[in-house]
Formats: sequence, C-alpha cells, structure tokens
Amino acid sequence: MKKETPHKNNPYGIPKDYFKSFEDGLMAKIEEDELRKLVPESGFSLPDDYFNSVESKVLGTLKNERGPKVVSLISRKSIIAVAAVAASLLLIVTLFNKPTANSNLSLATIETETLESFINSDAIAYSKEELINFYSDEDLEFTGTNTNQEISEEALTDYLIDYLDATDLTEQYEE
Amino acid sequence: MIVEETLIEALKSPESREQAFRTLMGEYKERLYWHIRKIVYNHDDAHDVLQNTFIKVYKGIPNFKGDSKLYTWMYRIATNEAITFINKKAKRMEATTLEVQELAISKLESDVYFDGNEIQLKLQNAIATLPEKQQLVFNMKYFDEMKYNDMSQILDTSVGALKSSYHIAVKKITSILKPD
Repeated sequence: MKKETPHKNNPYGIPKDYFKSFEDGLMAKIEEDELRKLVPESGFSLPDDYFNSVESKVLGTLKNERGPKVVSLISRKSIIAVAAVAASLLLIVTLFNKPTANSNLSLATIETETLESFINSDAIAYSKEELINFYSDEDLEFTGTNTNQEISEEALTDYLIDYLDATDLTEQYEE
Repeated sequence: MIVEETLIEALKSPESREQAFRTLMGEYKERLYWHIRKIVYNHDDAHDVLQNTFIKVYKGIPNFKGDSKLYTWMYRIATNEAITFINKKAKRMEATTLEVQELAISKLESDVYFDGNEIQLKLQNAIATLPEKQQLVFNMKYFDEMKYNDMSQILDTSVGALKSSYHIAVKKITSILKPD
C-alpha cells in the first residue's frame, strides 16, 4: 500500500513558524503548570473590609483636594479699577508737572543753611554713634601713615583760623 | 457587567459623575489593587498608589476618547503610578529599583499582610531579578491570568513579544526555584 505524502494538496494554511512556536508554547505551559503546583498563590493579604472603604477614601481625598471655594474680598475687577485710577493719576501728574529748564534741582543748588537746618531737624534722627556706623573703620581712620602727608603747623593754624568758630572755643574753655 | 459606553457617558456628565465613579471603583478596585500590590509589595503603599490611580482616572475621564477599553486605560495608569512610586523611592534612597524591591521583599517576612511561606518569598525574590517589563508580564499572566490582547494594549507591546517574554520569565523563575 502506498502511503500518502502528508500535506499534499492540503488547502489549509498555517502561520509562519507555527510548529516552532507551538513547541515553545507547549514547553512553557508545562513549566508554568509545574510552577503553579509549587507556588499557586502570591501570599499577599490585606486588612479585613479594606475594599469596602476604598470608594469613600478616594472621594474624600478628591473633595479635600478641591477644598472649599475661597471668595476673595478683593476681586480682580476691583484691582483692575484701582490700578487704572492710579495709572491715570500718575499720567496727569506727569503731564502737568513737567520740570522747566530753570528748575534744575540738585544738592549743589540747595543753600547750605537749608541743608544744615534739615540735617539738624528730627527728619534725620540719627545719633552720633549711628552715624559713625555708616562709615567703615578705614574711613574713620585718619593717621599720617595712611595719607602719607605731613600736616605742617602753619597749615593747621590757617585751617583753624578759617573754619573754627570763636564762640565755640570760648564755650569749651568756660566748661 | 456594566455596559462600558453607558458608564463612560455617565462619568462625563456632571450630574451623574460621582455615582458613576463609585460604580467604576466598585468594578475595578480589586483587580487594580492586586496589580499594584505585586509591584510595590506593601499594603499601605499599594493603597496610596491605588488612590492616586483613581484620582488620575477621575481627572482624566473628561479627556478619555475611548480609543482603548476603560479597563486597559486604567490598568495603564495604575502600572505607571506604581512604577513611578518605586522609582521615586529609589531616588530618595539613592538606590537602584532592584535594591528597593529587595528591601521591600525582605520586610515581607514580618509584614502582617503577608501570609506567604518560604517558597512564596523565594518566588517574589525571583520575580524581582527579572527586567521590569518581564516582571509586569509575569505578574499579569501568572497571577491575574490576563489575556495577551489586553496586556498588549496596556504595555503597548505585540502579543508575540509578550508571549515570548512570559515564557522566558517562567523559565528563569523555574530555574531559580528548582535549580536541579
């Protein structure tokens, strides 16, 4: 009896490498079944009734995240309105208060007396110690070594005569 | 079983949203929890990750276009959240993810929510030695018995590649647990 050649005139097709993957798949299935016999479960457990509380916990967190709606006392509209008024005022002041050519204000143009009375007023309420603190030790140090200049006796006398007030000296001696 | 389209519609409507979201959580919380738990090991961590997952789902629902199934979309979010959780932990500890996993597994022995025996601990250790994707594939197939088609959508990998990945994982784990 003649044996028929397998697959001859077979109308059915199979995916590429089917038999190869079939073998691999079968071997893997056998190994998996053996593994399942050895370790059927993961061993993890969880608190009783845990799943009953999941929904409320998640919804609670969502509500907390959203939080109560905060209504600002100062609305954005009010801020814009105030800003607009301030900007308008600034524009008006700038336009109507243009500095003239003659109003060249600087320290040099202020009279010395005005400056002195301002310094002596309470507007600058610094004590001597506080004023000293504005200067560094180097600023305050005045010795012949750091200036490298010898002040002659004649120059010192001239300076005292020119700048020292006679009444101040009298008051010092009386004390 | 709820019809998915009806549920999505209810989730997108402001009037029915909260109720529909409760239904959604009721339907999927257990499956998502166990999926997360096998990645992070500890119950408290799994709870935090599950919560974050549902919050992301809630916030993402208005933009959900329905290109994939709701179930696979949520699984993908849960997977990403769990992996991000482990990675952040590793960064905080200045350790590798494997070291973080090994530490978590070493704590399982004294964990009140782990009833496993020595061989189950050994299995967890063996899974941790696999590459990240193989771990996911193994857990999803071995414990969750998920279909390869669903897994393919979640992990964005072809069915063929997933099958091969699972077979390799089974071989490796068997060789660790049964060296002879």
